[in-house]
Amino acid sequence: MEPLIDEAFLRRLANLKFIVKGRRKGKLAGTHPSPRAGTSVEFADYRSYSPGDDFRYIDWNLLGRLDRLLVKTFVHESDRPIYLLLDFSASMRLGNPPKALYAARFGAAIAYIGLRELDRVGLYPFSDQLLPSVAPRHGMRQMTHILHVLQGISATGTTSLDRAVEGFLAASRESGLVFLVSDFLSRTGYQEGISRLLHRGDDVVVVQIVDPGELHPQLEGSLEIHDVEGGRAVDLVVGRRTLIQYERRLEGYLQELTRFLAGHRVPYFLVPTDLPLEDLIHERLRVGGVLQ
Amino acid sequence: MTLVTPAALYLLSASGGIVLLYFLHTRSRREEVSDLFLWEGLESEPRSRAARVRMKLDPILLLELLVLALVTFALAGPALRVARPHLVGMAIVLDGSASMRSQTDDGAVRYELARKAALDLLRRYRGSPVTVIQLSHSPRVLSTLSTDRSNPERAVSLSEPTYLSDGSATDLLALLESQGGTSRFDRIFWLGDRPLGASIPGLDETLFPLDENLSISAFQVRANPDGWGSTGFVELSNAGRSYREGRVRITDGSRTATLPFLLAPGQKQPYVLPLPGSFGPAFIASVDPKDSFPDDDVRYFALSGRVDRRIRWVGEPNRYLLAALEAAMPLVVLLPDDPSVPDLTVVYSSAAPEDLTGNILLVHSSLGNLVQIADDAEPGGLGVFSPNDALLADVDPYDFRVRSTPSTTVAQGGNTVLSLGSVPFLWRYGDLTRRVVLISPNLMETNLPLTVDFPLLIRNAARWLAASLSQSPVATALVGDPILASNFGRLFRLKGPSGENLPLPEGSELFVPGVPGVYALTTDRGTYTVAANLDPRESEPAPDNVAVGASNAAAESRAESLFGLWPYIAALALLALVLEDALYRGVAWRRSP
Repeated sequence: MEPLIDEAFLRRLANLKFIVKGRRKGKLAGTHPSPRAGTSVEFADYRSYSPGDDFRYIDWNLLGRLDRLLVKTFVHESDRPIYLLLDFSASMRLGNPPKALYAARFGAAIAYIGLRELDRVGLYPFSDQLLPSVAPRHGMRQMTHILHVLQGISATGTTSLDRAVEGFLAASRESGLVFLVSDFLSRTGYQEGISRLLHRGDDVVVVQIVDPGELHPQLEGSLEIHDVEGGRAVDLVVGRRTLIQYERRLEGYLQELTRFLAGHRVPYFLVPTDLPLEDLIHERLRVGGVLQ
Repeated sequence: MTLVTPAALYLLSASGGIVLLYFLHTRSRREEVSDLFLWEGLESEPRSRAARVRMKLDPILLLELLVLALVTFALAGPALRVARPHLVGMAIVLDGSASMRSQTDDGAVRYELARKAALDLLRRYRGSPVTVIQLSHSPRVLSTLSTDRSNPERAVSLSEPTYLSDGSATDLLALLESQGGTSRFDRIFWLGDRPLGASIPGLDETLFPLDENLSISAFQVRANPDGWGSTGFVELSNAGRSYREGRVRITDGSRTATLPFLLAPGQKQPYVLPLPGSFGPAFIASVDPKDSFPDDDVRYFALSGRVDRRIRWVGEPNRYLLAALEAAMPLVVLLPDDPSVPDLTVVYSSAAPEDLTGNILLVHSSLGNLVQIADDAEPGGLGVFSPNDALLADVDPYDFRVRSTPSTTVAQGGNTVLSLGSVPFLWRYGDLTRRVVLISPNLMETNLPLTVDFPLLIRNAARWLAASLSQSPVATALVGDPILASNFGRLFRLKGPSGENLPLPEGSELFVPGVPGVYALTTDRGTYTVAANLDPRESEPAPDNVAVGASNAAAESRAESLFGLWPYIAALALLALVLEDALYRGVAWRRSP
C-alpha cells in the first residue's frame, strides 16, 4: 500500500507550529500558553507569597527593595488537544484523486505537526455518525495509530455532520483545536454541528475538500445524475446552460457557508484536490493564520 | 477496380446496430455526484437540432463506422486490374554449380546475381505458371510448376550454390519432362555463368561469365621412392587477362612447403614441392593471395590407405595360391578362432560345409551339393567354353597343363568357363547368398603355380567374386562423385571436412561428398581419409564470345491480372480502430471522477 505521506514531506513540516488566538486551559505541559501560571521560562507576573510556595521562586531582590515577599509566576505552557474530524462518507470517495485520500493525507500532516509540538492529537472520522476513533495522545507512537486508522478506513455511508459532532462532543470532554474536514456537499447541513463545537469552546478550522470536477463539471449530454450517498437520481440533458445554472447554485451555497463561518470567525479553506497538499499546508494555512 | 466477393458488403448493415448501441449507451450514461441538492431542479437542456447533430457526429461513433466500412470493404476483396506480361509456362533455371560461388569484378557473388534476376523474373511474370530448377551435377526442382509465387520466391531466396560441377542440358530436359514436358514452357530462363550449349526452344540465357580466375587445376602427392616423405605436384592455371603472382603452398597439417609463382595470362604451370618426412595421409594445396573464386584456390589430396582383405583359409595350406592372392590384393588370413566375417573364403583340397556363404574360392574342393569332387583321373582335352569371360581376362588358358583332374560334379545354374574333357576345370556360380569360383584340379598336379597367368587368373576370380576385393579404394574424388564406402570395410563413422560427424549412408554403401575437403572414414579395418575437390572444369572461364546478360527472348503476350488491395484497406481499418480506442480511453479518463 502506498504510504499516505512520505518522509521528505514530513521533514518539511518540522518547523511548523499552530497559532492559537486565545489561551485555553490544558492539562499537560505543552507549547501552547495556558492561563495557569506555571514553570516555564516565560515570566508572567508576581504575586504575594503564601505558605507552601516554592522558595526558589521568591524574588529576593524585590524583598530587599520593597520588603515584601513576592513570588515570580511563569506562563504555564500546556498542550492543546488537536482533533481531526474527517468526513469519510461515500461522497468523499469521488474525485481523482478521491477526496477521502486527500483528507487522509491532510489529517496525517496535521497530526504530525501537532505531535511534534508535543500536543495530543486525536482522530475522529465520521460519516452519518462517529466512526471508530483514536483518542488524543502524545508521542510519535500516536502517529502510527493515526496512520494505521487512516489507511484502513473506507469512505461509505451518508453524511450527518450534526450527529457526528454530537458523538464527538460526547467522546472528547476537553475543548481543543478542531480541524473539520469535509466536502460539505450535503443537504443535511453543517450549522448546528459547528455551532455546538464553538459553544464548547473549541477552536474550529474548516477545510472543505472538493474535486475540481465538482466546481466546474465537464459534463455534456443526456445523463443520469446519481446521488452517491442517497441512491437517488435525476435525469438531465446537460449542456452549457445547465452547467451555468449549477455553478451559480454552487456559488450561492459556498457563499452561504463562507458567511456562516466568517460570522463565527472560523477559519475556512476551500481546497480543490488538484491543489498540492504542500501548498495547502505551507501557503494557505500559513496565510490563513492557522500555522506559522 | 473490382470486388472479388461483393456479397461481403452486406456486412455494412451492421452499422445500424452500431448506431443503435451508441445511442442506447449514450442515453444510459451515469454520473455520480456527492449530493443531488445542487442538481435537483436544474433546467434540462433542450435537445437542439445542433446538439443532436453534434451527438451524431461524435468522432468515436464516426471512427467505429469507418472501421466497419473499411473491414467490410477489405472483406469484399477490392482489386485493381493490371496488365502484366504473361507466359503459358516458364522455367527459371539457376546454375547451381560451384563456379557460381565466385564473385564478379564488382564483388557480387554470381549466384546472388542469378537469384536476384530470378526474383525479378518471378515479379515480372506474376500470374504465369513457373517452375524453378537448380541445375548442377545433381540437378533438382526447387519449386514445381505453379502460378503461386510464394513457394518459388522462397525457394529461390533460400537456395544456395553447390560445390558440384556443371549440369548438362540433357539433365535439364529430363527435369522439364518431369514438369509436363518442354512444350509446356514458352520460355526457359537460364541464369548461369556459361551457356548451356544446347538448342532448346524458348531458351533465354542470362549469363554472368567467369573471366578472371587463378586456380589450382591439379594436385597430386606421391610417396618418395626412398620411403622418406612425399612430393607434391601442383598445377596452377591463370585464366585471367593479367599476370598473377603469389605463393603456392602444400601442407599435411604439420609440414609445409611453399614456392613463389608468376603466371602469364592463359598460362598453366606445374610445380613440384617436396615434403620430406611427410606421409600424409591428407594434403592441402593452396595459393596466396586468394582471388574472386577462392574455392578453387585450394585442393585436397589423400594417399590411398591400405585396406587388408580378410581371408578365411579352409583346408590344406598352399603357398602358391596364397602368393597369387597376395599379388591380387592386400590381405590378412584370419586365425581359425577369429569371429570376423571374411571378405573371401578360400577352400583348398578340402570339403567346405554346405551352409558356407559369401565369396568362396574353391580349389580342388567340394562344397555340399553344389560342387562335389571325387578321385583324380586322366584329364581330357582343354575346352574353352567362354573365351571372353571375365575370369579369363589377360589369361591364355592354352598355357595350362594338367596332369590329373578329379571327377567333378557341379550343380545346375553355374557357368563352366574351362573344361578338361567333360570335367569342369574353371567354373563359376552366383546366387543371392554366395558367389563361388571353382578351380577343380589339385594345383600341384598342374603347371598353374609356375605360369605368369596364374596370379592374373586369381585376380580375375577375386574381381568377379567382389569388385572391391581387388581394387584399391578411391582416396581422392570430385565433389558429388559417389565413393564406395564398403571398399574401406564396414563403415562406423564418417567425419566431414570440418570434423563434424556426418550421417552414415543408409541402405547404400555409397557416400557422396557434398563439399570439398578431407573426409575421415572409420571402419572395422581402421581410419581412412578421402579427399574431395571441385571439378577443375569449374575453374575454366566462359568462352570468349559470351556476352554478359545475353538474351534471345521470345515474344511474350500480356494478360490482365488482379492486384489485391485488401491488405492496405485492412491496415487502414486497424489504424482507425487504434485511433478510436485511444480516443475512447481519453474520453473515459476525462470523465472518470
